[in-house]
Amino acid sequence: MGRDVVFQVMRYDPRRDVEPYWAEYDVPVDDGDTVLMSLMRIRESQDGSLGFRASCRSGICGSDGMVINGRSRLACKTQVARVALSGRVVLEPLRNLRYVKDLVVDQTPFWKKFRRVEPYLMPADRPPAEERRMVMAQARFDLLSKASDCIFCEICYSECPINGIDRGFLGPQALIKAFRFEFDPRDDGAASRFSPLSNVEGAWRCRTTFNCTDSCPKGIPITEGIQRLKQKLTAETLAGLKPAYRSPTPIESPEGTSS
Amino acid sequence: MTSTGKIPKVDQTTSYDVLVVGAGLAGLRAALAVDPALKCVVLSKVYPVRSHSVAAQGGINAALDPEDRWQDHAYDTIKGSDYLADQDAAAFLCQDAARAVCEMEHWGTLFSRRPDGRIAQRSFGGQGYPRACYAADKTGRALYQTLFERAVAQSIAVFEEFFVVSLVVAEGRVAGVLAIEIASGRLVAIPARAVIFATGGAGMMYARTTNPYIATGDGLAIAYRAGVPLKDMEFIQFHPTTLPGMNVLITEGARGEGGYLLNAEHDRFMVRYAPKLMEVAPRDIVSRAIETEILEGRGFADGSVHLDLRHLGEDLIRHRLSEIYDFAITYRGINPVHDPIPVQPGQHYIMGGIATGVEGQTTLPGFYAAGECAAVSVHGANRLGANSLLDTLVFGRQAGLAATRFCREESKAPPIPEAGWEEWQDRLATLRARRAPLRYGPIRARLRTTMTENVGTFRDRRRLQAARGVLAALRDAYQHAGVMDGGEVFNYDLLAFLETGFLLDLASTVVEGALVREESRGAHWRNDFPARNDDQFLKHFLYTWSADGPVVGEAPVAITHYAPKPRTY
Repeated sequence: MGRDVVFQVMRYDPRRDVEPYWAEYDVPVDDGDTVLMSLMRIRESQDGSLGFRASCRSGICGSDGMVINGRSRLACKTQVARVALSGRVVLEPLRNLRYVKDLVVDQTPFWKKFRRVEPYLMPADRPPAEERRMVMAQARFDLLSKASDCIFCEICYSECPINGIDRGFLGPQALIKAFRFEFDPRDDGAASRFSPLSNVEGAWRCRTTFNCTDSCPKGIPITEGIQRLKQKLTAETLAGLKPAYRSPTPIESPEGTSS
Repeated sequence: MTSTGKIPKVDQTTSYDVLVVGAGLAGLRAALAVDPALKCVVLSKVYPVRSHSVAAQGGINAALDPEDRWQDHAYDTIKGSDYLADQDAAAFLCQDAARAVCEMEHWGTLFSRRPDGRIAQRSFGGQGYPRACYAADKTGRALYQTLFERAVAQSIAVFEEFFVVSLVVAEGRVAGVLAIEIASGRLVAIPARAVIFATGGAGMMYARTTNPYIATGDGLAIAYRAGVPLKDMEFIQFHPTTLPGMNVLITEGARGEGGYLLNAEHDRFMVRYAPKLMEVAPRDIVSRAIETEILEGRGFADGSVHLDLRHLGEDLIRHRLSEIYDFAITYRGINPVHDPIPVQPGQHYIMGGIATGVEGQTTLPGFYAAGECAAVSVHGANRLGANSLLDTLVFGRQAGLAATRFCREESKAPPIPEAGWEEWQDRLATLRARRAPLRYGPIRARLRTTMTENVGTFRDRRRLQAARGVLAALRDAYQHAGVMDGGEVFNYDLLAFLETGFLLDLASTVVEGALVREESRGAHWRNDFPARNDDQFLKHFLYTWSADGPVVGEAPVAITHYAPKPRTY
């Protein structure tokens, strides 16, 4: 066994607590242990009531995004030794989403924004009975393939400062999803997506802080994708497409109803 | 939905037509196949995109190339199954494969491409032709995102974070499910005319597994407890290449692309086990080869052998094997461009499952299953790589179509009996209130090490009987165990406790099956019976729940095309 590390975790249970508080747990940590392994150890042997989401434990399902020592990261891709330099790891729920219990957040606004960009391929042709040929330059394929690596972990959403000050902003994840379809040669949905992407809550609201790109656990160049989207929207505007203007719509109901 | 309305509802819907449990590939494909005129809902214990389908790496098999034939794919699948697959089902799977792949491509999957624009295909274990279509080494994610996006486009309703505790049976047919709404902790009933389980695997019964925390066999155990037989549970797949420690999967595609397996003596040992196919022999054979090398002292100190990709070059590794490149660096600090990756076998898949036919139907009218939780059986005693993604798409669709037909033919769902709801309500209240010193943690930990040590790649009667004894003790301990968290909101402690109960029930079917199958076939190897015995054991075993443990029954194997032959590679 390695050394003991103190995990300082934000706790809150809406049925029991008036407001959040900090709890501390001493956890023995071995080299190579991830933050998620330590959280599981706490839940199994110290405090079963600790709430956090987890599934694949290897950075592919996107369940366990949380703020670890001040930055949003995946608990399963973060080694304790890397962040516990002072012998302490501080865990908080993701930002820009309402916490509902301990490290569990309400993801409703994130998913609503995702749906708003019509995140699916709109092929122009009928279903092919046979294999379709699609020749794409390697660089373009790589970019689309990389953009579709998104695991919906909400870390970019948590790190984006615009999401923090503007509840209506679509956010980096919805935009990179839109990019992935808008630049797919098989897609014919540009006219349909133009409005949500180019209105005041869309791509133009991105202020290129690169926080999303820096924090993405899959290394997706999100900012680059959003800027390419802006270029495309510019060309479409010049070609005569106009956004159906609408006032910003409230995304979050006070109760954050799940849907 | 009920006579008195005492049972909480999830929403205003009186009764659903089709309820799909599980939102992975099989579940979503099933939902997409249900007639849109019917009221269909998908229920998942996690957000749909957390489902483990996203973790599949290597590929999806389809005889797409004009030089290839689906009949050859079927033959490879049947031979790979060590002749335990039902051959009519395997033929159906392979004949439908090209359609399934083209459909996904049309819906938007970004498959890797050949220079001429056609979908690229790579070699995979046990296949006589390179027929695994892939999207780098993230094929599961690419396919899953496409289906998830289709589900969004078609407004498929999903109940997110609902944990099913039981299947409701009334008037001799399925009537819906009881589930815990995780966010509130309340027990709700969801009535439905037809129920499809697509709940995935049960890898958490093993210590060394590639499976996620959520793979606790819920659907299998719930069906089993409801009286639906499970099939072929003794056949557990151990994937040859997982990272020692967390047992993160290293795709078979790495060997399909030309990676070598080397022991501590720098010897490409597969030449002694499968001289023709070498590293791309089927998984059962490669896993046993690796274990043998390690047992005979030719492994590395951490119980591993090496997977060497260096000769493939940086470009191939970083483009076609990008995920495992990342895994090796993140979890082991090893850059596979410069150093070999240590690998060891780990539990990966269960070939067995809820006994179904090719339409996903079970012995219970209105109840269907598809994907890893089902055993059609197309995988028999050993599943070939890149056949499970195919299985989810083909048989998920089959189950959705069959449930639609069932709804057209059958009247409304019988009401959910209040007694069953009350029984679970009381059970959960008692559990929440009980403060016992023993928790699920040590029980599950002991179960997992017992299964890995005694019911692994190599088995024998002595170790299986030891496992049987441990399981009995654990089941007894479980009766007296309790939870730490008596709360209602996001009580993962309570869920893990219930999941442990599911795993205990399933583990006994695995152990009893492994004991009764006194032969070696596919992934099931008995050191005390090291040969296949077609005279006695070319048949499926069925496991039916009883208070005293599983009752073992039998079912014939459908042999329609190929007579069993010795299996060499």
